[in-house]
Amino acid sequence: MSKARHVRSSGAHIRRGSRAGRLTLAIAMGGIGMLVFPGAQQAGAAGDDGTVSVRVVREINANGIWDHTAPILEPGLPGAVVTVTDPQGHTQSGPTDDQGQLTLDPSTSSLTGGKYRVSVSNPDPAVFSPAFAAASPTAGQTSLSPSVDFVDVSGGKPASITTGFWNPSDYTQDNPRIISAHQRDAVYGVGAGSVYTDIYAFNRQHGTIANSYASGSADSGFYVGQCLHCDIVVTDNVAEYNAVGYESANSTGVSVVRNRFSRNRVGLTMSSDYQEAFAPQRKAIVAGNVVSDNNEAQTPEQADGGFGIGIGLGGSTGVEVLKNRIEGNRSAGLLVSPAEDLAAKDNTAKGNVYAGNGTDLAFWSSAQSGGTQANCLERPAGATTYPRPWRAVLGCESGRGPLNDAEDIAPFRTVPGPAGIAFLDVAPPGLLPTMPGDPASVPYRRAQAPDPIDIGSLTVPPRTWLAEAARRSAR
Amino acid sequence: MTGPSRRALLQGAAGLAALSACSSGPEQGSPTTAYGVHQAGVTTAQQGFGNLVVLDLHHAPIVPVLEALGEEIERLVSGRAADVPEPGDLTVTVGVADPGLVLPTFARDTFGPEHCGGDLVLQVCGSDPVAVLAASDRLTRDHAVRWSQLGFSGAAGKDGFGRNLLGFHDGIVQPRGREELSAGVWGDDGSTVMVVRRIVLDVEGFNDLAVDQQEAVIGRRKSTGAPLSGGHLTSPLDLAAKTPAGAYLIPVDAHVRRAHPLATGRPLMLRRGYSFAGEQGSGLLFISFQRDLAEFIQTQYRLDAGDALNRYLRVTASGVFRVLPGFSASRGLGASMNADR
Ligand code: HEM
Repeated sequence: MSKARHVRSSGAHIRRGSRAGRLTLAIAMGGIGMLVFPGAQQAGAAGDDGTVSVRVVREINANGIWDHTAPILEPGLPGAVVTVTDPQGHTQSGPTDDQGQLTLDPSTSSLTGGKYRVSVSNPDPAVFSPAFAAASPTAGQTSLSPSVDFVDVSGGKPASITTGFWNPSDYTQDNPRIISAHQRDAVYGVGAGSVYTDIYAFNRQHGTIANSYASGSADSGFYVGQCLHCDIVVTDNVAEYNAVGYESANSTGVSVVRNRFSRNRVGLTMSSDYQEAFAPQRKAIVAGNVVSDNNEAQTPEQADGGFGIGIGLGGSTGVEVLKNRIEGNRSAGLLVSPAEDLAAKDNTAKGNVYAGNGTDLAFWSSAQSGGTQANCLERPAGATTYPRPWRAVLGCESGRGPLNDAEDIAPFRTVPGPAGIAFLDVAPPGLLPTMPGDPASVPYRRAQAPDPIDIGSLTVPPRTWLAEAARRSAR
Repeated sequence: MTGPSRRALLQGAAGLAALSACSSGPEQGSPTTAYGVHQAGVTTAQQGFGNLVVLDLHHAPIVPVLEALGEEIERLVSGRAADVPEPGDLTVTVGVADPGLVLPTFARDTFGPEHCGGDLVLQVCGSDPVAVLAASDRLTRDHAVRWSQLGFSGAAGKDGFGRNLLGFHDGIVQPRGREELSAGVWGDDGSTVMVVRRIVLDVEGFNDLAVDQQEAVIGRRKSTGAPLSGGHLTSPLDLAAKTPAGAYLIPVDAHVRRAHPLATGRPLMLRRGYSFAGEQGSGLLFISFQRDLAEFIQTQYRLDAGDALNRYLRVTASGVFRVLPGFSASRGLGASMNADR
């Protein structure tokens, strides 16, 4: 399932647009708290002010710290315009020099009050995003300030700020916890014009997407992609009436556990996609989910034609599909296939319950991707398969070596999907549980590593798992 | 298909400057030299006619053959050969078979062994078809021709691009400028890999489609060449653009979507094919140049797997060759073969 494209090379011809413009909670949350102006201050004599020194660096490793000793040297960014503003709106500004530095002296300007807002403009918004600050710098480290910050230089105290901009293609950044554990957030038909993905973590790390609901997306309800060592857990969510319930592309280290992906066109996909960085899709856990009845016509269509698929692994490596309930998907319950020249390999499916799927387990390979590779896709008794002689193709008993190397199995044909409906026409969900208390009072916190998941203690969920949050028609 | 530099010539100096750094080719119509870092006929502004000739050497040692060809080519293009007194913008590009370059069998391949393989390829191009044929004769006189095909390109319209036999603009999306050419086309030694495919088109069948259906097959507007995702002829494709109901604006099986390099994770090839018509049927003598054969192979696999154009074509001849690095009076065409092989 092809996703759009992120900037990876500067080749003018291969245009990777950015995903900017898609409404994403991840990004919206990241900005909270930065633009608050701290009230008007008591006026003071301008002549008393200390200097404001600003250093603007190019953040490389997104750790929120200015690294300036080997092996990581984060250089200064010249030409970034720094503006110091007082509560009355008077300003003083200038560009950073070749070293990315600038010192302004408010005492020689019309600024008054001693407490000022300092903002640094992005030298190239097409390339850079503001860097995040470090959660807890250790002694001696210079934590990066946000690109809008506040200083107090009253009484002649000098102030200095180090801020940074980073290019997402340099590295991935930390991700705040996206939805707090108690919130059941209705993200439905957000915005107008082009809604592709409802809840969307692109190029992010370390976080949890939990207790959320997504519906009516022409792309996927939940999306996590293009991240190395993502360290992201997606849990206790419901996605229904989307083209795809949950999607990962080119992620490494995502756990998708105990969700309900039901009544979409496609329940969940984990795929490799050259249109974004970090292909292939690697290590992930998909466990304890209900993935059922993904044959829904009353959704936007899946643009690549996907329909009736429970879980799809495309050109992925090392994805473990464990203890899921995979039922009633008209094309295939679990479909494992290559993507371009990337074979599906080292994937595991164990302990899943299949029932009423067009084909429970489907697998194909291609000469283009080097033939059939080792995958351990366990077939429970009675489960139907494509190709029919399952053992001859794949089996856990055969160990990890490549199986029938030259094998080139004809593509599995999915059931054709009906025409889609506009995302704005997707019926709204019922009343959803909301977060207890006042959501506005929830403090903004920086990235938290997700709690580890104990796969061992998971069980295959009942059919009704999280059904109370699903639409009545979809329970 | 229209070569990149024709567009550059029409669009002004910026494009020209970018190309002249990489191109040993001439401006259209003017006499040329065969010498340079690269052979002519790759980034050269595409001329109106091209003749592709695949030769068998029957075990004759290749280096002397190449040396002789190189000298003859320089005589021809500079107007010093008696057979072609007025060569105009003639270029000759020479490629050799390379055991490291192998094409798999693709879905629409329908040729026998006599229409693939071969030891040498000559691509002879020029604005004057008479000069093209005379030069081809001169160069192939002492060799056995395995197969050959003469082609022509559609005249450039007001927008600077010619059309192929399906009536659509061709050659719009191309690697341009030093960076893209070195990423996708030129090897470090100045050579490049050439793929040739004689593709017979069911032009009549295609024309039976309503124009909007034809546009869905290609992924661009027939009148203006604009991508179905919007904009104008040179606007980049927006492969993610969808209708509110979730369908791609550029259909999932449109040729330009399937051929787009983004999905293969490989750089863009340079396409420089010619239309043909005659006994062999009519269609496109597809010629592409790429640094790495995988650019073509991965793209062709994607076309096999889902290009709406497949219904209207079959491939009746095929080949892959290494276009040797450019040469000079002191370092002949065969020099690189001596050194590395
Ligand atoms: C007879 C067969 C073919 C016809 C009629 C044809 C026609 C076209 C047309 C009309 C375009 C759009 C204009 C343009 O961007 O130049 C196009 C684009 C393209 N074609 Fe073909 N083509 C054929 C075969 C092939 C083959 C065999 C390949 C390579 C394996 C190929 C690769 C491409 C590429 C890379 C593009 C640019 C796609 C993009 O927009 O990124 N074509 N072709």
